[in-house]
Amino acid sequence: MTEHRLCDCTEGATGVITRMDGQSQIIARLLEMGLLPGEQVRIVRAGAPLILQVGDTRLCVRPDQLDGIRVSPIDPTLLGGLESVYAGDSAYAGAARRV
Amino acid sequence: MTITAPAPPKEVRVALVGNPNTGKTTLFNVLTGLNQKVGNYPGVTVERKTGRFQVEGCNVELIDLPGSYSLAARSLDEVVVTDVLLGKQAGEKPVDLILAIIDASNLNRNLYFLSQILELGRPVVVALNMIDVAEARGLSVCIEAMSNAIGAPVVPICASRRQGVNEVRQAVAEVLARDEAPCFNKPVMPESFQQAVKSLRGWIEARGKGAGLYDLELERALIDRDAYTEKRLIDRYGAAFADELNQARDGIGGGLPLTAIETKTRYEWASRVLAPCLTRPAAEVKTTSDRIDEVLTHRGWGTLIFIVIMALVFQSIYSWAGPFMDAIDAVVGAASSFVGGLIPEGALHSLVVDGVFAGVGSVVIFVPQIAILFFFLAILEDCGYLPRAAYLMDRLLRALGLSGKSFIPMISSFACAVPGVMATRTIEDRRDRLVTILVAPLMSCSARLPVYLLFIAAFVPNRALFGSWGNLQGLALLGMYMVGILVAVPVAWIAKKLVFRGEASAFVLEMPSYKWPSVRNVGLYVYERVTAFLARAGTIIFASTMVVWALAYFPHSTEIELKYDALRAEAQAAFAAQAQPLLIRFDPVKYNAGMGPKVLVDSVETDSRLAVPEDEAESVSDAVRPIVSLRRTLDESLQEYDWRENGESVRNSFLGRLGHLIEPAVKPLGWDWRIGMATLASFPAREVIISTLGTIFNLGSEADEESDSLVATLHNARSEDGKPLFNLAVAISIMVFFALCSQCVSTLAVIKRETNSWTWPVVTFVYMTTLAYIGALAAYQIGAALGWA
Repeated sequence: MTEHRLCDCTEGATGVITRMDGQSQIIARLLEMGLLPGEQVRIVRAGAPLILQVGDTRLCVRPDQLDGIRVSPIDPTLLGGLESVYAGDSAYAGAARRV
Repeated sequence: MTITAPAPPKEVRVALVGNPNTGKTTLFNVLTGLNQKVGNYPGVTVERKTGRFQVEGCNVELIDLPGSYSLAARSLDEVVVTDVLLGKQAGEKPVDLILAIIDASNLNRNLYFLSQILELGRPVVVALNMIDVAEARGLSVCIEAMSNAIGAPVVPICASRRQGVNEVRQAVAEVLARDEAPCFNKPVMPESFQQAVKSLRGWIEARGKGAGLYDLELERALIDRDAYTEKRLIDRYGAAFADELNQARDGIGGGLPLTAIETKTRYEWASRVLAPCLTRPAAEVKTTSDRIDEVLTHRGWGTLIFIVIMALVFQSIYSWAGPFMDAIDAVVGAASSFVGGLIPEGALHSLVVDGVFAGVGSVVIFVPQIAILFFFLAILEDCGYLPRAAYLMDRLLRALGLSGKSFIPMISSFACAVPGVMATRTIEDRRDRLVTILVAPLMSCSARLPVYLLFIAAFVPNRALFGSWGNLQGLALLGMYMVGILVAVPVAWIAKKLVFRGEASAFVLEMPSYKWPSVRNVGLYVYERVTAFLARAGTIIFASTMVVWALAYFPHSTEIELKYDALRAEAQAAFAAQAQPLLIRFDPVKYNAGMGPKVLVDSVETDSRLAVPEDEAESVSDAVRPIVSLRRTLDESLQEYDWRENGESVRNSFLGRLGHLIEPAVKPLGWDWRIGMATLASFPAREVIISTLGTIFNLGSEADEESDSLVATLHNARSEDGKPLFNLAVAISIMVFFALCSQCVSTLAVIKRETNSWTWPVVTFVYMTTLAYIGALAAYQIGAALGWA
């Protein structure tokens, strides 16, 4: 399974979030806004800042805040529910919850 | 048969909560109309807005809480929302019902917040807004299924078209009439988490302190490490509670951080709730909003459109406000001279004309600019454009350590720092907001323009540059605008590095769908801002103008008045001696030898045949020429006596004495006591310097920036050793001082109001005034070294 940093993705790319690490404040805010593992995310505008589409929410975020966020191209096996991967204190890597 | 009087209406309090951009303000405006009150929560910068409406025997007080995404209480807004909902906010009674507004086009995220609201266990009514937007995206929602899935009444509304509003009122009344406690389908946190909450409660109750404690508080303290709720509970229960809390956290384990557990649980709950009631389209539908975004967030086109919009806004602030400002000026002027005419000359007359009317006028004159600016800001905000502007400007502003959200306040400040500071409310991050408030007054506002215009016209040569493309004076004006901008860069940077250090806060900006701005929202927004400006800043600028007037007027010496009355009488006598024989020959019926000088002058002044033509070149008939010429001489000397009297009494006033006192301080800037004094007098409002300079240099206080005579007088002014007082170096020093100095009581008053503390106006005043002094000193010394002095 290939994993990319979300902030490296090109404009128009779509992927599923597999892993989130970073500063707890920022991760907590992103989680609340609906950016969480298992969610499908699309890069509407690349660059700094960038615009993301997650579900019905469109977000403007700075790429340095997304350093620890990994995505993989949509993979059907992922949607069945994955084991969690723990990555550091404030990190959250988790099961795909969307069915 | 007994007849009972109808029960008096019940007083109930309802809190309106929801995510930002859900149409919360629109619903609030529709429910309460003009029946609103705006203030601040004590001790914090968050605005407190309440309104009233009636329904079935209930007098409802509706509290509009700031839009928030979570009860995690990370931002100041969220702290207030949490406190009000938990009934912990000082001076606020607990709420009887929570009216939660959710956005049908973004249900997952809106239900996340709703799930936290439900956990409070208070009665809840859900207003489901923006169904039209959801339908445009191909989503369809079954209201009944949703209501059942949540366990609370769900009312579909379209706030912008005022649909469903009565149904919301009905639902509120019905839920309030129920006796039993609400029974919601709430998200269920993992067993280990619930155990942790239970053990914490047990620990607190064992100490007999459990009264009024919500489980939600314990949950928040567990989840949000180092955040508000944790700190508050530790304050209440002591350091031992902190240990207890850490132990409880360890017990939950499972490897995942608690924030992750919470979001997972809540989003899973949202999915379960939505499963029976939400139908999604097979493929994502591209909406009009998405298409607009493709253009407006485009790096090229988007930026171009942004510049055009900004240019239009600022152009209209200058061009549309002009006629209104002239009209206000004329009305205030007419009222001033009418009332002034009713009051005999003296202290009261001066207080009313120079104090009250001049003071009120200087405030009211800004209303058109403020109204126009807020009109556009309201439209841009209501239609959802502001987050896009912030997106485009973020790159530029992050170099200063700020974010795109600081852009609108900064650009507004070029018109006036008052609306600029008020516009910082859109910045959620407290540190970013304070830094923006600190640097916004450095932008050259419209009140600095007259000062620049006067000194540039007087001391910068009117020379063409680059052929006929530019002009040295225009370049100087641009330079003055750049001074503020260039100084703002290091100030913002230093403030961000030194004063407001700490973790970078999340710059996560939601970009809502575009919608048509509502006339009602825009109207109420402008009305609210204008009245707030008039009420608060108005009283302070008015009071300070009074003080300056009093300092410039007292101690009022009758000696000076008597001296100039004698001089005026002398001039009239001289006129009478020469003109009387001519007048008797001209009109023997009207004029005779028995008239005293005063009576004679009065009759001549009302004689239209002897009017002095405005233009000296204009010819008068031979018969009256000698009389008119004598009259002109008389008018000129009378006016000169008025000016000199004015100047002398100012020199004699407290302000004048103060001027002499501060002279050593302003000497290194190339100024004398008169410039120092004019600057001192203009601390309440910087444009006051124009009229003060006019007064001091015996020109009369009617001077304005375009009067050639003021320019000429500045050229002719001599310092005490006989050298010209003003030169290019002095002019630049004064302009730099005015560019950087905090000379605006309205701005300081608004900073006080917006930050709810005296710290920030004091900091702003001290740093700007210090910078202004250093800047003016450097400007004069460098100018003098270059030979401009």
